[in-house]
Order: sequence, then structure tokens, then C-alpha cells
Amino acid sequence: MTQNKNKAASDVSAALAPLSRRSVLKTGLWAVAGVSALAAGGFALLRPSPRDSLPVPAGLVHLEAQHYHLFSRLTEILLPTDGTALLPAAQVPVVNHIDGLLDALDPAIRQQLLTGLALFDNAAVVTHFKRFVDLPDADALAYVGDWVNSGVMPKRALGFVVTKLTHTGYWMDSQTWPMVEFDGPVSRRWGIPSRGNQPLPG
Amino acid sequence: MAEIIAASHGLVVTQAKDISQSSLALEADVVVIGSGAGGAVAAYELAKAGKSVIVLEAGPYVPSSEFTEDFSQAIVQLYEDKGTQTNADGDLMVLQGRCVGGSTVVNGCVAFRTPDYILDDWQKQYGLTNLTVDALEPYFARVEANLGIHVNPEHEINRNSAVLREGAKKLGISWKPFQRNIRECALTGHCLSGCATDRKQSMLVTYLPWATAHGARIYADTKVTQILAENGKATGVLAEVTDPKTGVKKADVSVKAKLVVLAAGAVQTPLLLQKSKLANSSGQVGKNFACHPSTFVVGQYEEDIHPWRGAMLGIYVDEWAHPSKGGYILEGGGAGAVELSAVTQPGLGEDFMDYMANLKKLAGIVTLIHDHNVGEISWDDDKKKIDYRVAEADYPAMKAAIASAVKLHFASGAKKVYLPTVVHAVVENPAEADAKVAAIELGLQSLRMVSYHPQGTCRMGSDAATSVCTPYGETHDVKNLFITDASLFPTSIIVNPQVTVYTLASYIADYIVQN
Repeated sequence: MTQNKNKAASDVSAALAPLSRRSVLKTGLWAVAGVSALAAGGFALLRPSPRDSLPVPAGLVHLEAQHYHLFSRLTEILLPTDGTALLPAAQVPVVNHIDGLLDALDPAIRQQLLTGLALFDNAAVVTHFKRFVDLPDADALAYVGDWVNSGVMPKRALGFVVTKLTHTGYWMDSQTWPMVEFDGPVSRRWGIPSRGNQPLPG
Repeated sequence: MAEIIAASHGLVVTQAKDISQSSLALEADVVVIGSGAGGAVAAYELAKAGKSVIVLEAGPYVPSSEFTEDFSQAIVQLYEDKGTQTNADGDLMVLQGRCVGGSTVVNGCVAFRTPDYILDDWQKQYGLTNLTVDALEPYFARVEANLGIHVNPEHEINRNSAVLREGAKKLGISWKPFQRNIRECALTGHCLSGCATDRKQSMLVTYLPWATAHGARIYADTKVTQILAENGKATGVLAEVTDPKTGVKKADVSVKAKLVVLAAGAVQTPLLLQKSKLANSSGQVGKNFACHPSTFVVGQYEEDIHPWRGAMLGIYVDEWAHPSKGGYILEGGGAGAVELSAVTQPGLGEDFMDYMANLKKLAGIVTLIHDHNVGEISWDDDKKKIDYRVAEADYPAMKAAIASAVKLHFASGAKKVYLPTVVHAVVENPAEADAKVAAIELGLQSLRMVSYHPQGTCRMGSDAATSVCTPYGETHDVKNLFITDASLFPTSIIVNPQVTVYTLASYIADYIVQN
């Protein structure tokens, strides 16, 4: 578990990059929220969902129940494996891995990300009258696509983050590698000896 | 006189765990800030010349026996800000090593000499008339010999690079095998996670153990907080030792030294000078940041490539390297599963999983451009700020580099090419390549960009009004304060910078000894 917690993948750095500019989160995301609220005549934060009553695994450090349900739903729609040789996403602790990835973040940025995740979930109320976690598969996928390909930079950035965290939470798990023939660490497995230090130049 | 022998494995490093007192007062001829390319070389050359040397490294000491070959772990273990360092806009990752050995521990071993036309430009534009090709030749030769730099033999060109080589031949464009600083490469493909078997000739297994053999003392977990100067001369530094596991300060450190060598990297070096309020009469400290913003263009092939197997970097295309021809290069670069899941947007759901299911059939090209020095490093309250946006003047080079990479992929046999964009963009056939690349709207959050090459923030020059350092690396304002990292570069150099840093550090160390 400790090992998993320490696995902060390269693409997560990229995924989190858009959130590292605090001004983006302070102004951009809230601008999106503001527009949404205006359009909806009120922003229904955390409209109840049937998922809210589902159990949440123990051991999450940063993600709360609402975030767990959000990433569980994202895992279902972004990581389909039916009919493929890939490891079913349900067999991978994707959300636990994501929780571990958040360790690498500056605490202030992490808190802003968590706020952004709630926004992502709830903004669907404006357009679909449901939270994202309750959208049917096709609508949910289209919703994510709308964020990822948005011309509104902060919206695109958050869409980018949620997809990359979900993808990385799956692919950073070494259980997924044999199915795509990725070798992972090899030196110890192959018994390659260390050359040690180079002797002093002559 | 006893023969001087470097340790066969590992380094003698004083770490936070070794320190029990709350303050340390040290003294040496030279204190070196940073243990990467610039710091390690300076430390060795000066220690060899008989100087007492102390090296202070902010990052931890991680022996190669602890390297995991899992990039998602390595980035937390070995990289600045656990791999989350970005520009202020958040659309460019700035990757630097943060450990004993610095970025040399985690780089891809690519070893270019500084291009002649770059040195010519530095002479003409910045008065660096001492840095001629002829003057630097012995220094290039020295570091190349010391670091086992050699042209990749055929077995060090992996399938990823081999297919691209065939494409380059078909297109009739110039390509070359890389030169790399590695001995007996084990072909694991894990360069960016540190070389677990010490094949890469990083500072961890070369200049640092050599420096300690000559008496240099290395302190890890020790971040310099201020450079001290009196009457226009450097006199030492103040630092803090912090437990890397808890983040709790363990000790204050002062080092009294006749000479300070600053080599903390092109982000930290100007920050430290700004904090110390030194060497900035020109107002140039932190300005002129460049970084070779790069993208990773992925092609999908019919055949199995397994881009993570073999030497990570095999060949490069230099057809458009000269600024008059575009100012960019393409590098055949392998990558692992997690990295490949991040470098493009092949679609969502089934589209993405189909892309990943074909992982072994993917090949990668890294694009590097000769960017303008338009960025700035500064403090934003108590946090660093990397203000850098790709200049509009560099948009043509960015697009040309991506367009050339797409063409190279198709010439090499790719069936489709994934663009390095944030939004969904796939080129399905050669006929639509130009239009798809032209349609990329460059600007904030448009490309998936990474920089491995920060540079330029304390540039050298003969004019004290427009540069921070003299042509010999000493700051114009503060005597006995030298800089030996990539901050010195007056312009970006197009190619991977490690050999340029080693060479300048060697040159400057010789200058120090002789003067």
C-alpha cells in the first residue's frame, strides 16, 4: 500500500499542471461555476444521488465519499475493458491510487482540486438535471468530452485533470502491464549487476 | 603520497539523519551549491586542484540500489516538487532532478556538444569571445572521456528509433545516432527513473565520488537559504538541514568560504540570488528563461515496437536544427505505459483503451525547439513562480516540429499519428496531416508540453549592464561568486544541455584555479 501511495505518475504531474496556477482556480473555475449558476438560476451543490449511500473503502486519505463516487463513475466510463484482454478496471484499486497521487500536491492546490471535483460533478445539474455520477453511460462520456475539448480554458483544464487522474490510477498499477506486454522494472528480475562508481580518470 | 581511489560503490554523504546538533558551522575554500552537472564538475575539479570543498545539496541522497525503475515512484523520489513543478499557466511541466547528482541522475543520457553556431552567436551577440569552438575543444574532450560518451552502436538503437531511421532515410533527411554518456548500457529503457545498475555516467557515479576521493564533503537534505557577501566579495552561505521524511528542520548551517559556486539549476539559482539580494544590478537575474518546450508525438504501427525496450534514445533528426532551417530537432524516444497514457488525447472510453491496448505498437518522437528566452523566474510571496509561455515567435517552430514528426511517422510506416494536444486530435492518414497540424490552436492549455532543459536565467555576457555573469562565470557584481549551471546560457541551445554544462563548469573551474 505504501508503494502504491508513492506512485505519483508522470502524467499526473501533467494532469495536475493546470491546477498549479492558483489564479486559474481562484478565478477561472469559479467563473465557470458562476455562469452555470446564473444559467440554472441557482447552483444545486451536492444534489442527492443514489450513489451517496454506497459504501466507501477505508484508507482514503484525501478523497472524501463524494470524490470516491465521482472517480468510481469515471472509472466505469473511461476505462471500459469488456471484450478486450485488458484487466477489468473493477479489479484495480483505481481510486485508492488516485488518492495516493494527491500526496504529491501542495496542500492548497490539493484543496482547490477537491473543490473543482465537486464542481465537475455538480455542474451537470445545469445541463442534465442530474449530477455527473447519475448520468447514463453515453451522456456521461459526452459530458467528459465536453469538458476535455472545451474552448473555456479552466473547464478544459479540469476535464483534463479528471481524465488523466483516472487513466493514471489504472495504468500505474503493475497488474495492468502484462496485458499490454509492458515489462516494468527489469534490472533485478534480469539479474543485471551494478557497475558501481567509475574509477577516477587517469 | 598515497594513491587516490574513488569508492567502488555509493557515496559518503552527510544526511539529515546523521545530524544531531541544531547548528553546524563549517569552513572550506569553496562551497558549492548543488550537486548536479555544474556543481559536481566544479567540486571535483577544484578539489583535485587542492581546494577544500563542501557541496550542499537540497535534495536527498538516493543510492542507485533504491531506484525502482517505476517512473511513477521515481518522480516522487528524485524530481523537483515530486514531479509537479510547472510554469505559472500550468500547461508546461518543468522536470528537474532533486537529489544528490541532480538532473544527471534522471536524464536520458543524450550528450550533444554545444552547436558551433550557438557558440558563434554567443560571441557575436553577448561578447563571449573566449568561448570559441577551439577554446572549448579540450574541455569537451575531457568530459566526453570522463563520462564514456560514445555514439550509439547498433545494439543501442531500439526498435522505436530503428523504424524512425528508416523513415528518415525514405524522406532523405539528416539523421544521426545519439551520443550518450553511458557505459555497457543494460538496455532497460528506464533512464528517467535513474539507472539502477550504474551504467549511466551520472554525477552519482563519476564526478561526485571522484570529488570525495579528493576530500570534498557532500551534505544532502541541505538547502541554502542565503549567499553571504561582504565588500563586494562572497564569503559563504547560510543553509538549513531538513528531514526529507517529515519536512522538519533539523539544523541551521553556516559555511564560511572564500569562494561560492552556485549551481542549483536555472530555476533555483536565480531564486537564491534574488532572495540574497545579490548580483542583480543588471536586473537580469531570473529573466531570459528558456526551456526547450517539448512534445511527444506518438505513431501507431502495424508491427510490434515495444517502445520501452532497449536504450531509451537511439537516433535523432537534425535536418531542421539550424535556426535558419527551423530551429528544432526530433528525437526518437521510448516510453513506458504510464507516460504513453499521458502524452496524447486519443479519445475517451473505448477510443482511449483501444489506444492503450495497442501500446506495444506505438513509437514516439520528442520535439525540441530553439525557443526564445522570454520567461522569468521570480518569487510570488514565498513560492517560486515560473512565468513562461511559448512566445508567438516560436509558434511556427512548434508547429513545424510537430508537422515534421507526423510526416516522419508516416514515412516510417505508422498507420495513424496522435497529436500532442490537450483536445482530441488524431491524424488518420498522411493526406490530412498538414490540415490537422495547422488546425492546432496554440495558446494556453493547447499542447501537452514538458521541459527537461531550463536555462538562461543568469546569463553570461561581457556587458555588466545586460548580463549577470562575466564570460568566465563570475557574477559581475560579486567577486568570488561563480555560477556553473545552465543559468549561464545567453540563449537556448536547441540540443540537450548536459555536456554544455559539464564543459562550462570545467572551463570555469580551470579559470578559478588559474586565477
